[in-house]
Amino acid sequence: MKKVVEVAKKVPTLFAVGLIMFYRMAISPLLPPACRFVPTCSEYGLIAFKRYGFRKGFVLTVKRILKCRPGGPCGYDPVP
Amino acid sequence: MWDIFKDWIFDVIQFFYNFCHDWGLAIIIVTIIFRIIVAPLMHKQAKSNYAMQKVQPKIQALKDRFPDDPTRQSQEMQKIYAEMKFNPLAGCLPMLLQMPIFIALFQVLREMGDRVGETSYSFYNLVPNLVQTPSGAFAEGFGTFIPYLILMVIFAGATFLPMVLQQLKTENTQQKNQTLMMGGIMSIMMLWISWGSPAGVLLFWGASSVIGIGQNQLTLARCRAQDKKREEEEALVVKPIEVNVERKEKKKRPKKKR
Repeated sequence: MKKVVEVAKKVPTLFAVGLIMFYRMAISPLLPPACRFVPTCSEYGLIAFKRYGFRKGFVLTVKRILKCRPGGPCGYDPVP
Repeated sequence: MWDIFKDWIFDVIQFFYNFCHDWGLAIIIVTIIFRIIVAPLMHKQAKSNYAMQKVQPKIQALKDRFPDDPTRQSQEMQKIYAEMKFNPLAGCLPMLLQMPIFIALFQVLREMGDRVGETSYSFYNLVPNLVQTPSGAFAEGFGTFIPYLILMVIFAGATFLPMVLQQLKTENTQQKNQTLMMGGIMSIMMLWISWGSPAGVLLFWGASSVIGIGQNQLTLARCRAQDKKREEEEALVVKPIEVNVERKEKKKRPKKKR
């Protein structure tokens, strides 16, 4: 029973990681490259979701994408 | 509002159709034009990727030097990237805001059959019907299916190829295998997506990816050639002059004899 709950808890994270993977491989090559950061927003999102789980990973990723705009900071910005 | 926008995209494609009288070619021309517009950005990105790969050994060395000190590590990394003269692009947010353009384009390509009406919607005789999905063509028989199969393979291969090319030079076997496996899973997923998509969409997607890969390889090759040339020039110019600095045996100063 415990194992089932644990796996169920991971589902949103896995979903998010899958979505980012799909974006990186299928959609991103179609669009012009844009990210101002190292690691790029999608890499950052992958690491954040894997390290912190769904909720905190989501918040971190959204924050990062909001930062990635003209006039914002740029350069090296690792996942905390 | 949304429909006006979609009509406008359709008008653009139709404009090219009036030139070449072939819908498939019109789609490819639109793709190429779009790619040319974003080419400078792609070039910049590929260059910075190349530079990034060149500093990889430095970063690895850092990790070996301060294995238990993440703060120090990130400080040093900050320094390396600052030295690299990282040039900022527009950013992810404005690009994500442009996503509706792409969604509209996809919808137009999906609905193409209704919009085109009487004229045959084909890519010369290679792909007889661009509205048809591969699954639909499969139901009609294997002969009709072959061109769609080729489109599907190009489409799925175009997502897998960049990963293979990228991993070719990596020494790390574990990472290599992992990435290749991930790419394989993704390619299968792309095959599944393409199974239910109209051939016109696949044509656009595949053409765009193939052009992107080609451009990337071109830029990388040029960067490498430049590096090589620079190295050769440096070897020619700054070759240190070898001086023989061996000391001679010390002799005692001759003393005056009195």
